[in-house]
Amino acid sequence: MTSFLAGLFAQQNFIPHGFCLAWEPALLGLHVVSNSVIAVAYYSIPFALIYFISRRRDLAFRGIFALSGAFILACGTTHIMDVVTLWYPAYWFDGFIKFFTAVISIFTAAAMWFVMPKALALPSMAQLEDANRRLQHEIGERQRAEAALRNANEELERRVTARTADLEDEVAQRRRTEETLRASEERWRSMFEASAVGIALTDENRRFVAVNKAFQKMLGYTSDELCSLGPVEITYEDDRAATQEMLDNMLSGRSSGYHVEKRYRRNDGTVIWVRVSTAQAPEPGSGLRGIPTIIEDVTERKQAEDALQEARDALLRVTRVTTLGELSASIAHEINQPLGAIVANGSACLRLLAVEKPDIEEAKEAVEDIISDSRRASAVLGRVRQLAKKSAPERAPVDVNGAISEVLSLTRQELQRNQVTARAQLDPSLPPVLADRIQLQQVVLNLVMNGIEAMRGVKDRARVLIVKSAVAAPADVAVTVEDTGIGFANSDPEHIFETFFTTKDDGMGMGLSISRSIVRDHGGRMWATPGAPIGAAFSFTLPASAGARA
Amino acid sequence: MTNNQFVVMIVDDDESIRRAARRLIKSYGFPVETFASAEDFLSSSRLHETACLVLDVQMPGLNGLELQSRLITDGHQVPIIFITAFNDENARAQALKAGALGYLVKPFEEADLLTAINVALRRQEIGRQSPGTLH
Repeated sequence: MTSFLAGLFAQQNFIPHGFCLAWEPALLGLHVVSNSVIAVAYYSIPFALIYFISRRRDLAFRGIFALSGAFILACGTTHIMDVVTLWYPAYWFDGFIKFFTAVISIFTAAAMWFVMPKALALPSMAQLEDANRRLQHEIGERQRAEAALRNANEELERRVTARTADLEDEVAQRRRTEETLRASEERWRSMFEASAVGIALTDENRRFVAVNKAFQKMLGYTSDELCSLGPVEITYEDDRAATQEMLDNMLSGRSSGYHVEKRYRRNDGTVIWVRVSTAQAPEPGSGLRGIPTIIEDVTERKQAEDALQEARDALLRVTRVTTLGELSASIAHEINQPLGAIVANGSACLRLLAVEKPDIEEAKEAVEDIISDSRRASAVLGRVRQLAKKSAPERAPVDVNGAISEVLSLTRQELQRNQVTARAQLDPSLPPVLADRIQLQQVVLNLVMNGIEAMRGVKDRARVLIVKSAVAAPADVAVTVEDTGIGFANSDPEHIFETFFTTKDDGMGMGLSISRSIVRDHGGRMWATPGAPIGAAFSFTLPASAGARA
Repeated sequence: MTNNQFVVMIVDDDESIRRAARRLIKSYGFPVETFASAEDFLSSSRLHETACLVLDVQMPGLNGLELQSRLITDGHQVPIIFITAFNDENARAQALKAGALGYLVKPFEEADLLTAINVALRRQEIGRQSPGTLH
């Protein structure tokens, strides 16, 4: 090996290249400088390439770069050899260097052509930039799309949140409504159950669908028993037709409700009085079922009212009988007149028939008179008995003039005994009034007796009692009893209507107050006015009964 | 009873009583006339034919007792029999004191009336047979 290397650098018989250049210093210098500069440049290039490759790890075709680096390095070495061979003729070594350079050059050139298609396939810078731009654009688009998507997502989330809040609100609201409803329902139910008055619901089939405890207790039925019954079934027999009609009217819409007092028959058979108030029946299709009804037991009140009415009737009768007592002498007179005539006629009849040729005609007339006088006496007794009898008041159409005339005939003798001239001024066109005839006569009788009483002390003038009847506006019948008595002096005419007020020594002071209460009961009014020019006038009105016939 | 010139006068406001009394007294055989009021009787100028006055106490206008007083005041001594449907002791006492022959309460006994009428007629007859010689 040493010999081979020695052989390479052996200068033996070769001439240095400078010799060819004739050792011309300038030429030598030119070659030396040019080759040296080339060598320096060629040597620097591979280092630049190595630096480039080391920095660009992503570089394609790194082999080509390496080969090129070696090739340029080899070329650089050949230029160094060109300088060396100017003085040292190591042409073999120079030749081998050149051979080595040639081999690398060929490989490099071959490799270049080999990779050419691939290198050509590499995108150019512009293409890359264009692709980059497109990519950038696409990235932008995507980013925008992503942003839009993000926005949409946020919007969706916001909406979901808002809707969720709304739903929660709605649920809470519904819960509150349900609680309110439940509270309301409980409130109503407790009112329904705890109510002291009866409450019931009646459906369109006239059956109870709900009844409270008070109602069950009132009637002595259980809730179930009542719900198999209806308002008609529990009603007292005499009131059933009216109840049926009211229900019909409500269910058909002809009536919007009713308030009545009627009777029920309890489970144990006893009869109670109730006040029934219905509310409006629900509209068809309103979802509400049944007619709401409130029922109040008014039996005690009714009994008290009945007792009061009985006491009042009894008082009226007692005062009537008292008045009749005051009239007893006059009544006896009224009966004794026809009785006297009857006895006289009877006696005459006996005489007429006792003779040989009886005057049959005259006897017949006597008997006819007896019959008519008997009737007259009987009529007087009848009138007295009617005023004294114990019977419930009864309203019927009354001929006021007829009633007044009867009172005047009953008091005729009393008037005469007291030297009172009685005058009746009765309007024949008077319509009938709906009244209790006896009570009406009691009022007139009281006024006539008061008139007689008021004139008892009168000595200086005629004692006149005038009884008038007339039609008064709007559709009333007015009766006035005037006297020429002592009048009211300076006292208030209203004062005399007070109970227990009396100017009589033996009076109870009830006549006028009772009379006024009777008139009021009949829907009329009663008042007193000073007489003109003297005495007093008592008047009362009664509503005419439209369409009634006395 | 035999003197037909003397008439029994009945004054009563009640027609039934007038008819019945007239019929009864007629059945006794006496002539009878009736008046419905004291005023009718006074204005009839039948006073001098009156043998006996059958007079009701209670009448509108001038009543029986007032008519009696009037006749006495005027100097007419007419026998009066009161018939009344109203037994009032004061009225009876007043009537009898003033010279009434009877005070009958309806319904009266037929015999009482007849007796009273007979008394009245006898008194009238005596007065007529010996005018001015009552003793």
